[in-house]
Amino acid sequence: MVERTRLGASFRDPSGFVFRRDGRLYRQVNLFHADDYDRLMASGLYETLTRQGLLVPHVEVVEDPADPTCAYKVLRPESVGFISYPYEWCFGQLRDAALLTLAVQRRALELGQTLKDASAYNVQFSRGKPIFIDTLSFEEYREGEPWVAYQQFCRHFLAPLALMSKTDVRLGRLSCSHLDGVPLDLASKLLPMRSRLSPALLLHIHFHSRSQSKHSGNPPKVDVSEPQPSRQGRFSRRAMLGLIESLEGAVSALEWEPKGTEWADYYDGNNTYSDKALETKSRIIAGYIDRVKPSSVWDLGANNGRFSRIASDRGVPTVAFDIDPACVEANYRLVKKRAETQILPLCVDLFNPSPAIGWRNRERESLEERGPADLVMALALIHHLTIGGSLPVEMVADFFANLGRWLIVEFVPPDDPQARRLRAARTATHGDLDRERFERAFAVHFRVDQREPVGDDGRALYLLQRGDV
Amino acid sequence: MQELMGLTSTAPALLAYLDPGTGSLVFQVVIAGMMSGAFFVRSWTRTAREFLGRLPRHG
Repeated sequence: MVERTRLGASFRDPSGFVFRRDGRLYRQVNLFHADDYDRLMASGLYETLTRQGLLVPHVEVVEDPADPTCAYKVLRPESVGFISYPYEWCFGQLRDAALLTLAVQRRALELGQTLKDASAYNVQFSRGKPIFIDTLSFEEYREGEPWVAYQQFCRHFLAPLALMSKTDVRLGRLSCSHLDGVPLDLASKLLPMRSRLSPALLLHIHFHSRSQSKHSGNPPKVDVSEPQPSRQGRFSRRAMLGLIESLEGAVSALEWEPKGTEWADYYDGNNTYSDKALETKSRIIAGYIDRVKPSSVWDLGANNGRFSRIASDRGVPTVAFDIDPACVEANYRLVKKRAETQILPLCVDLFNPSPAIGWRNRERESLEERGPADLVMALALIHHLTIGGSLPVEMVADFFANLGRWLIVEFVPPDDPQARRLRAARTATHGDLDRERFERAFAVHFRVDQREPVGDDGRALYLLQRGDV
Repeated sequence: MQELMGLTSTAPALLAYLDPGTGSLVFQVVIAGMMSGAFFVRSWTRTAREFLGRLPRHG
């Protein structure tokens, strides 16, 4: 009998699946994939990839398989921390994930193997870097055969990257509505004419899409019962290496600079806070984090991660969410520059957080399903939600209570210049959010542990603990 | 390119759990020569550069 611990995202590949038992993640390798798994381990490819930090390491364990009828082995992979999805990544993260996938394919080819899929969901960000997580994606390379994952690579990586770079960075969200990547005909339509001046994009997106349209009525000749004859020369090894190099060149040539958005230069060009107030705010937050000693932090509306780093610099795994792709990009570049390992910047719109999607809405989890975090930070955010987003504060408090056990929230008074600016454009709001109403709304779910003013303008930081903890 | 695509009307048969897409397989076969040639040229250029880089410099 198949246990119900099998993860919702793990069912397409008959090679095996991931399951959870007693809070731990395991991967079952099916008999179907035994030869390919043994080849990966014996060829030195596993050792090479894990040594270079490209593939998540695992240990083989003596554990009852979740589905004994087809089990070969059970593996316990190393934890990668918070699971994020391609539609939450900034441009730089998606590009690095694409280059990682190609690097893995290149090393696989060197040792007689190939990737049988190139899904962006096979990559996660762990310790500041992308890492390949699907141990069962490798199979024997048979010279003469084209790359079966070529289409998937173009849809999951090249098309969204090209759209983000050449059309609009917000098109990265298309991956959320297209679970198996952006259709190439759609990408071809949305890309500007000048994208055809890039030989690589002309080839891998525009001509590739045309070939797909031309052959859309012809199913591939797949005969699973007969061994396939060698097709030496049809798609030689050199052609395969050329294809990988061409895709690497196409991905590397795509660029996007994080500037020109509302929030990208917030701390540099904004005078909401004086240097002294920023220093005070940082000191208070540091004190709260030292008091709670959280095991995980979610910073909502993190901008470029200035305050998230108070947690991550203390070794706390921290996810820094922001709606602005430019802020997330700037944050990610800082992560790379400082070789940080505990902070993960992600693009999330709190008014429309990542939903549960895929088959039965169970393949990719919603943001709330991936929680709760130990500590949530919502700094200078409340007025954007209550005034900018017209959310009653009671609903905001309820949302935060679902996301974390502890909460650091900044109160912004109604006469604050930023609050006034947001309110100016609105004829009707849910009423002024004064301190009394703010405290009443949060008291439904939390108890106040600490409260301190940030400056002398009425802003204050609260450390709240959920009532049921 | 359209003429080139017309040359290959059948997709190579492959075993895959993932639908590799007939058009994508055909397309790879169509561009195989181009990919192979470009790889050869780039490899040759890299080798030549490495060789030249190893030569002793005079003056």
